[in-house]
Amino acid sequence: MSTYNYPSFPQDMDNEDFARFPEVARVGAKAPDGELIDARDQSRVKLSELWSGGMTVLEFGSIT
Amino acid sequence: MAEEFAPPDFRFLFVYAREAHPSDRFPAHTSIDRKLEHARAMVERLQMNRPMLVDDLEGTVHHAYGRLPNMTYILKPGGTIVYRASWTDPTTIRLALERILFEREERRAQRRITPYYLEWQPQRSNDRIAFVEGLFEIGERAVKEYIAAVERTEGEASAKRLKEWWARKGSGGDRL
Repeated sequence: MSTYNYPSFPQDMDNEDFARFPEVARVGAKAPDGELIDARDQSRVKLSELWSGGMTVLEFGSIT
Repeated sequence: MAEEFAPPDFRFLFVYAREAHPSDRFPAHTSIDRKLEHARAMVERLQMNRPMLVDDLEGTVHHAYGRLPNMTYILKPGGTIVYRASWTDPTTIRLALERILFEREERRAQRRITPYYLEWQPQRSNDRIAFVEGLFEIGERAVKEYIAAVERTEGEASAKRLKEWWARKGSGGDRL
């Protein structure tokens, strides 16, 4: 069973996720909303609150 | 780039997802507190000025957007997706942002513009040795696991150069 927070780098890389990416969401459609935690003050914020302010560039990543 | 294309034109946000290359120093998250710690460490290490937003432990938002380790999306106010990429490549993002500024100017000047659809598959720089040098900063485990994954998915020939690099670099006679 695969876990989201894999303890070691997946041996199949994430090739399946890359292959699926075109279908997951679409340009021209509305982005998925969701709740995130601001690392600075631990406040909760919804993406829809953030993107209402203007054009938003959203980058995903981690320190590793 | 976040400073160059600053508000009010654009707002840059970073969403913290799972550890792409878990290491001893930065292992896979087992609690949201740990995840927040890593996120703050990243802000500190890279001197980030952007808001750092942390996804829940299960990666709900990360999943919804495609679950890739380094994606970038550009959204219009209201949330419509105008750009989505499986990789964060500054050059193409810059292109997109400049295009958006141009479109804004056209609208301001009341020249008619209408959307069209584009699919594009650019190539990004992908120097593997440079990449594993970066992973080495993260930790040896991250390097070893990555090289093993390359060998597993692409075969011995692809991994050969990396293994030679590691043999020259690696510590204490560690074998892959």
